[in-house]
Amino acid sequence: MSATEKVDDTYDRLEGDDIVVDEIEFEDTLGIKGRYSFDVGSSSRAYLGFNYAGLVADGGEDHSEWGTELPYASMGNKQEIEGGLRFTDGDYTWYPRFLYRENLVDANPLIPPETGGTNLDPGLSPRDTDSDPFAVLDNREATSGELIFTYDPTPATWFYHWNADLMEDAAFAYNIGLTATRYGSDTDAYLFFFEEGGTNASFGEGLDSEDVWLLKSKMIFNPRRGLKTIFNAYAGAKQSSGQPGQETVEFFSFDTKIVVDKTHIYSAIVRVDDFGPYDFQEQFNIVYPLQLELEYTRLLDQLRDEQRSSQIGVVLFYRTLDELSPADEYENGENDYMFELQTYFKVAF
Amino acid sequence: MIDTPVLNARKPAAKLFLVLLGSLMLLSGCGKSSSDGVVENTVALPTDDTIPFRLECANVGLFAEDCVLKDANNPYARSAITEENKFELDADAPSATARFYLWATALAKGIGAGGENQFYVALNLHRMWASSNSENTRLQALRAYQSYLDNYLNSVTFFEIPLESEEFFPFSLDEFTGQMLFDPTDSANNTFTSARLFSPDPAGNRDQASQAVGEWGFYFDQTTGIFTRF
Repeated sequence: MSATEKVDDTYDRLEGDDIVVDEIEFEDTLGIKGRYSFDVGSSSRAYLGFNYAGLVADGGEDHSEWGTELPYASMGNKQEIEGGLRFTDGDYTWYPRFLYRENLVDANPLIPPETGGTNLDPGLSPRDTDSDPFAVLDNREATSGELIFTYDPTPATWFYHWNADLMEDAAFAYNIGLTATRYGSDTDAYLFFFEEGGTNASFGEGLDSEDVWLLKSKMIFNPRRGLKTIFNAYAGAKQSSGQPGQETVEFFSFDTKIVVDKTHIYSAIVRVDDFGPYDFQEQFNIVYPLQLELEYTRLLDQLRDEQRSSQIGVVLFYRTLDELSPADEYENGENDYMFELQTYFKVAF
Repeated sequence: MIDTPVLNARKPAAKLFLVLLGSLMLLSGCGKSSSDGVVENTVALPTDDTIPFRLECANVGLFAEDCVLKDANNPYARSAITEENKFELDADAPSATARFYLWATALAKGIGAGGENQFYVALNLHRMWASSNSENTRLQALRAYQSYLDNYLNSVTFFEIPLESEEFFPFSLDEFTGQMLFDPTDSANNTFTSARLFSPDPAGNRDQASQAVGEWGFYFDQTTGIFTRF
């Protein structure tokens, strides 16, 4: 049960050509989910699950494991089935999975209002989470399939543990995963912070239906004691997380981090045709042709722990610019690139 | 030795069947019934400005307050108002009360320029007071003009001159606000209102407007039409 305070709140939806105004009822606050896992043979395990969540039954984030990128959503207004079959063969694991989701009430299209004499045809606007009790956003209709392959010769330090970057002790462990998702319907409208009004404002329209995919890989190398390398690569097609009517971004990125003797950390991030690093840049579809970040850090004290040690370092940021970059940076072609060099000294207590 | 696969062979099938059955029931039986809700393809717009305005909340129609969206009398609460259609809806609205709801909704939803939305909220409260003579409405109009000055000073609105020409010219909303407070008149460029909010006497109205604006923390130069914040 969730969001019972929204009972009796009103919302609208389109049914045929009619605009229907309805109220949230108690049953719309209810959700139920189930999952059954079972062995298939001696070294494989399968699961099948379902999830029903009423219109406002926002159940919180799902527990994502084994590196999945399936488009789980924390919001209600959905009925989902999912399943997967994990094969293990020695050090190798294959994990195909699927997720199918429908909405109980679809997103609203934009139908402009019209005035006729003293009557108003109010039209219909995409909902948002401030003005309406619910909205179709990340919980949109989705058909998604995924295959993740993992090589992990030392399962005692699980490759998908939250701090595997530090803990993984295999000489070489890696995974490769492909997730493809068809978003079969439009969304309602996302919100952004409207600085002038000091409040959240709606984008006014939703995201279009779209096919997206993500190919990713993580590699961890421990070639000798005291030398660790972590490498992540991503390629895919993704949508803005707010602004409607934008083309899907086809991007490539990788980042790597080399830790030498728990003292020297060399890291690099390269992003090609990717969103900027901040949330609002993804919301407003702000894309840079190339983003480069190179950093050297030296840990200074005896703990040799990146989180706890005092550090000195130097980092270089470099970006190229084009029409999709922020207008005040690109300046209609006046600027081709921007860079910044920082040095820092952090004291940890 | 325990032969696990054999021991588990029957139970999983039964449980799997139940999960599948549950999933199918969910996917086939749920969702909103078409009998739920009320069809509302048309709503009546308010036409009578002489009825005293009922405030949905103390700050209705002011910056950062969105209670107008919950007002049962607001015909625009669920409308798809956009920057492109709000002036068209304004032109077609049959009363100042309808226009107030239109602009207050645009303000609450952050649609288009906030200064424009706030000014037209104030203007239409001003017009509603001119018809209803309701003191509550007059005070709310003053608060809306003050909210414009506090939050949107130096904003503009655009007029299409001549109409249907697709040529738009910016006009200072500061000047219009000063005009409405100090010396409200209908003019060739606008048909706002000529009702004086403070006093029927033009000189008295200017004096009292000057005092009120001063209390809000502003000075208005009636010659240049410029507000100065102090």
